[in-house]
Amino acid sequence: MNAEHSVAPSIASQLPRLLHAPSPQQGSASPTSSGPEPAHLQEVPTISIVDDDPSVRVAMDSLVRSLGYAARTFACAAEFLQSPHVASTACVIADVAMPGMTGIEMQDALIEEGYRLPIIFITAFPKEPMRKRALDAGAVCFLSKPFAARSMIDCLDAALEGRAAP
Amino acid sequence: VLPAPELRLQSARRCLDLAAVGSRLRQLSPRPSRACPVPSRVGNQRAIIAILTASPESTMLMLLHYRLRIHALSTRARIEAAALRRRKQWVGSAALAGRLGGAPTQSRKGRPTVRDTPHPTVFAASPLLALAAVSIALAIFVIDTFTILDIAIAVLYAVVVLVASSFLGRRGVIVVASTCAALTVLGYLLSHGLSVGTPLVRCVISLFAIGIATLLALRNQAAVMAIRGQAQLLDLTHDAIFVLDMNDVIAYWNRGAEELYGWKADKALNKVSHELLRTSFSEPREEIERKLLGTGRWEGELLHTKSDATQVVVSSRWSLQRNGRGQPVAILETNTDHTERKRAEDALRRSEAYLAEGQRLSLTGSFGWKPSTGEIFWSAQTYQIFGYDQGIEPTIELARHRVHPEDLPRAHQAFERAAWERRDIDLEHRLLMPDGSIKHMRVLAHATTDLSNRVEFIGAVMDVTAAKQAQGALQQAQSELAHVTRVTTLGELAASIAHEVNQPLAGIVTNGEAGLRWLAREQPRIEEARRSLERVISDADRASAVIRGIRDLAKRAAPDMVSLDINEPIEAAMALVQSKALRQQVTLQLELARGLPMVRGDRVQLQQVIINLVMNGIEAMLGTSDWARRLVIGSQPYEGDQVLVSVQDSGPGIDPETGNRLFSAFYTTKPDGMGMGLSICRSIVEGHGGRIWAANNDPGPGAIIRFTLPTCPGRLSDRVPGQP
Repeated sequence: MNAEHSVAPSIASQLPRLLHAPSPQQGSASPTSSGPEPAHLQEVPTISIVDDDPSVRVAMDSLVRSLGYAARTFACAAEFLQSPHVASTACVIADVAMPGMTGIEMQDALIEEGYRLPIIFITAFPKEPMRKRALDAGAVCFLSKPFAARSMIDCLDAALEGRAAP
Repeated sequence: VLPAPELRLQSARRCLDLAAVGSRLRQLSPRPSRACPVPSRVGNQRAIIAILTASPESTMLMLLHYRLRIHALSTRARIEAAALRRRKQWVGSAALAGRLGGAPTQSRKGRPTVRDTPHPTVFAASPLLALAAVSIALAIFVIDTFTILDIAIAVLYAVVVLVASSFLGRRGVIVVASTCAALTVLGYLLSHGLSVGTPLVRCVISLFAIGIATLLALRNQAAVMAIRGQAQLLDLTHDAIFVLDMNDVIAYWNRGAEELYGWKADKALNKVSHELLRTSFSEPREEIERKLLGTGRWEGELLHTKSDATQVVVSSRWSLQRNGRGQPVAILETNTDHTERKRAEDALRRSEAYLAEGQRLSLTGSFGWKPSTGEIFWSAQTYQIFGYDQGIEPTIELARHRVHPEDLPRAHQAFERAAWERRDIDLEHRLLMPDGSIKHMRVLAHATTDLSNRVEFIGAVMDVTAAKQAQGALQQAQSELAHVTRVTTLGELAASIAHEVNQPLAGIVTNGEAGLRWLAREQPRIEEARRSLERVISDADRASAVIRGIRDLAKRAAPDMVSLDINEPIEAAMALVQSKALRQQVTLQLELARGLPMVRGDRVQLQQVIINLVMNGIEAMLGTSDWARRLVIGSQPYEGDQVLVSVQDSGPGIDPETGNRLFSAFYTTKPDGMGMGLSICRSIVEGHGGRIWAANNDPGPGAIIRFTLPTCPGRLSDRVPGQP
C-alpha cells in the first residue's frame, strides 16, 4: 500500500506564495540525480519526473538516465514547483492524475509563473478533453500508460529539439 | 243375616289387612287406586323384615320393589279398568279398602279416574276421618245400647279403631281403643245390666275384637312408619331417581329429581318421561331397550331439558324390575348431573386438543425426563418427530437411536452435564431418520426437582428443519446478492482498476526498455539493468495482485470463514479504491492499529464491506470542495473482545432523520444508486456476528461509519462451519 497518498498536502491555494518565496532547501524527495556525467554537466539536459506512483517514477528515472539525460523525480506537483530545480529543468514528464494538484494544474501554474517548459504528460486515464487542453496549452506529448518506450524517446527528442543531444 | 262370630273375626282380619294396605297406598303410591290388588300380608311382613334387617341400599330397592309392584298393578288396573269394574267382588273390596283408608274414592258413584284423584295425605283427611270415626262410634253405641238387635254390634268398634289408626299416633289409637272398649262395656251394662248370658259373651267377643284390631293397627302403623322413614332416604340422595312403567310414564319422582329438573313430583308424575325431559339419547332407543331387557341394566349418558329449558347432561343408570312371572313391569332410572363434570371434561379435552394441535402445527413435542429413574414421557408430537409409534414405551435408547451419529456425543454430553449440574438444556442437533432424511432439532428443557429433590426435566423438542432450510436459503440469497453487488462495484471501479493495472504495466514496459538500453551501452551498465529487471518483477507482482483481488471479488463462492487480521482486507480494498479516490481528489488516510487480535471472517466479504464504505464516503464528499475531501480508514481493538473498523469522511454528514434507514435495502440518496451497498454491509457484518452503525463527526463536518467484529476464539468459533 502506498502511504504517500495519505500524507499528500493540499497546497493549491498556497502555491503562488510558495513560488514567489522559494524555499532554499532541496525538495526532500528529489534524490536521484545520480548520473556519472560530471564532466558534461552543463551540457546534459535535466528531465524532471513528476508522478505519484513510485514504480512509474523510478522506471522513468531509469529510462531517462539510460538515454543519457539527467533525471530528478518528484512525488507530486507541489514538490516540483517548490523545488529550486524548476528553472534548470529542460523537460518535465508529468502524470496527469495526482493527489493534490493535477498535472494539468501544474502546467497552468508554470505558465502563469512564466515558465515555458516542454511537458510530456503520461496518464492512466486518457481523456480527450484533457488531452486537447494539455496540448493546446503547449504540452509536447500526451501518452497513455502503459506506453511504448519508443514513443517516450520520440517525445523526449521532440521536447529537447534544438538542444544538444546527450 | 247374622254372621257367625268366626266369620266376623275373619272379616275383621280382612278389614285390617285392607286397611293396612290402604294406608300404605296413600303413603307410598302416587295415587290411591281403588283397583289396586292387595298384596298379601305375608308379603308385607317379608318386606318389613327385609327392611328392618337389610342395608339401606337394599332397603331402598325393597321399597322400590313395593312401589313398583303397587304402581305396576295400578297401571294395569287403569288400563283394564272396564274389565276390572265388572269383577264386582274385587271392586267391592277395593271400595271398602278405599273407604277404610279414608281415601275419598267414590267408587260406587261412577268411575273415578286416576288423574282427577287428589294426592291424599293423612293430615288432609283427618278432620273428615275424625268426624267419621266419632259418628261411627256414636252410631255403634246407640245401636248397641238402645236396640234390641241380638248381634255383636260392638264388634264394629274395631272399625273405629282402624279408622283412628290412620290419623292418630300410637297413644291416640290406644285411647280410642280404650274408649271403644269402655263404650262396649257401658252399652252392655246399660242394655243388659249385670246379667250373665249370651249378651255377655257378645260383649267379650267385641272387646276381644277391639283388642286384636288395636294390636294389628298398632303393629301395622309401626311398620308403615318404618317404611316411610326408609322411603325418605330416597329423598336424601342427590341423585335424581324416578320410576317409569313400561310405557315410560313416571310413577315415582324423588326430591333429587325435583331439584335437578325443577318439576315437583305432582307435576312430573304420570307424564311420559322422555316427553317431559325431552330426552336426547346417546344411542338408539331400541339398543337401550334391547340391553335393558337382555341384562336388566343399562348405563349411559343422556341429555335432558330442565323445567327452565336449560339442558343437563346426566349419567343415567337404568334397572329393570320384573314381576313374579318374569315380565318387565317398571324401570328404575337413577340420574346423576354430569353437566359440570362434562363441561370440565370437555374443557380439558378441548385444551388437550388445542395443545396437541398446537404441537402438531408448530412441530413442537414435549417431553419429561427423570434421570434418576430413567422415566421418560413423550407427547404425541414427540413420537411423531422421532418417528415412532405411540404404543412404544419411550426410552433414552430410542431417542439415541435417532440422533445423528455425528451429533450423538455432543447431545449425550449436553444431557449428561445438564442432569449432573441440574441446569436447563438448550441444544441443537440433528436426527437421522430411518429413510435417511435429516431433521434439525432444537431441544429446550427446564430443570426442576421433585419432592425427593431429584432432578427432573420438562422440555420441548422443536423440529426446526424448515427454519434451517429457510435460513440456508436466505444465506444463499444474501451470498448471491453480495456477489451481484460486488460485481456491480467492480463495474463502478473499472476505471480505477484499469489505473491500478496500468501503473505497474507502465512500470514494466519502461523498466524493460531502460534495462535494454543500459545493456546496449558501449559500456553496459549491468547493475542498472539488474535493478530494472527487479522492478519489472516487482511491478508484475503488483499487477497480478490487483488482478487476483478482482478475481476474488468477482467469483461466486460460498463464504470461507478463516482467521485473519482485519488490516488484510482493508489494505486489499485500498488497492482497488485508491485510484477512484485519487480521481475524485479524495485523500485516503490509513490509521491501522498493528498487532490486532484475529477475527474470523470471509476475506472477500469483509473486503467488500470496506470497499462499499470507502466508495460511499467518496461519493458523499463529491459536493464538497476539493481541499476538504479526506477519508480516514482506521482499525483498533474494541471492548476487549472485538475489533472496530471505522471509515470517516468529511462530507455533509448524515441527515439525522435518515440515520436509521441508512442500512436498509433500497435506501439511497444517489439518483442512480440501487441502495444495496450499505444494506449488504450490514448483512455481512451481522452475519459475522458484528454490528455496524453510523454517526456524524463531532465536531463535523462529515460522517463516520463504524463496524465491529468479534475476535476469535469467540462465539463464532462455536458455530457450525459454513454458517456466518
